[in-house]
Amino acid sequence: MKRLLDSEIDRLRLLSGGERELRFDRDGEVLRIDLREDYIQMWQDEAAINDKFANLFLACENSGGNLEATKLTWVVGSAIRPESVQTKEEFTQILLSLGVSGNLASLALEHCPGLISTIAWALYFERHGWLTATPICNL
Amino acid sequence: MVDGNSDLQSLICRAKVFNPDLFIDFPADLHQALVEANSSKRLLNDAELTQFSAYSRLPFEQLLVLRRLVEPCVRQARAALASRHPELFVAGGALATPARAEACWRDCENFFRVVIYAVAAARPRFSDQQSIDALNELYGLMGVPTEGLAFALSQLSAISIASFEALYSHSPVGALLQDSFNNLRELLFGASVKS
Repeated sequence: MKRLLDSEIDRLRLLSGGERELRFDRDGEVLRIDLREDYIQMWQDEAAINDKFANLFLACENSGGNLEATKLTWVVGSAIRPESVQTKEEFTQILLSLGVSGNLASLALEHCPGLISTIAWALYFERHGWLTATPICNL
Repeated sequence: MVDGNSDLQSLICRAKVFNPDLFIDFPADLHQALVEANSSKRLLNDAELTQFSAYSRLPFEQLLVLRRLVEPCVRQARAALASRHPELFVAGGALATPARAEACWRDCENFFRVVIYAVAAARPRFSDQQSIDALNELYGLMGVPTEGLAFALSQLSAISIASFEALYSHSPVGALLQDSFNNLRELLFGASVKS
């Protein structure tokens, strides 16, 4: 069973209040962190089934082929691709190839605690272009 | 939480507003055109509409006109909804934030796109309850405000049917348009469909 135990995530939960959602804005682009418990549970179930070693779960347009050949998209209609990323540079490079701006990749690195290192995160695009991130579980 | 029988990916695969399997009996090239257009989330192009027009015995010109109605009808439906149901757009309303409203209208554009597939194919039942139930479950998980979507889709349906019938009254294309929207709304919202 997957767990999400982290003091930084607890801090985000406190900050998010009842809405369980945080938004970070830069130059008109928005990173949204979704902390709803049932939603986190949904991604934990996915992580438990599909890849025990991935640190990123990406909602992509295509399930097959190179990751560089697809784009990040909304969850509905997507293929969830588990990926393992080792460095911040690699993370940024992958997100850029998926059609995410450098601004949003940088916001994710700043505001998603444990990204790449200690916590698995899910990432997808909202239909209106926000990048949404949800922490899944400890690595 | 996702139901006990499935993971998220399986739910996503089952959640379809348009189910190409319901068109499997069509000639292979037409079926493939639907699969390809739907996976690319695009409208049928001129060549494809020509093929469907011949197969379904529907006037090509009317299918072209219908396709051209997507953008103006979505725009009119937005304006009409804001004027008739302002409560949806104030704090606490289903479409209160611009982002929510924008996402809702993008959904409506997508619904109109698959409705046009159904009309061109002369098969107004283009999804099934299992696919739509999965879609509704996924919408619930994603926090999509389906009340706002129901209002918006209802408005879009009424405006597009009226716009088309103003140009071509008593046309089989108009009747298919109405049936397709009605089926979609019934599958999505069941008895709670609002006009």
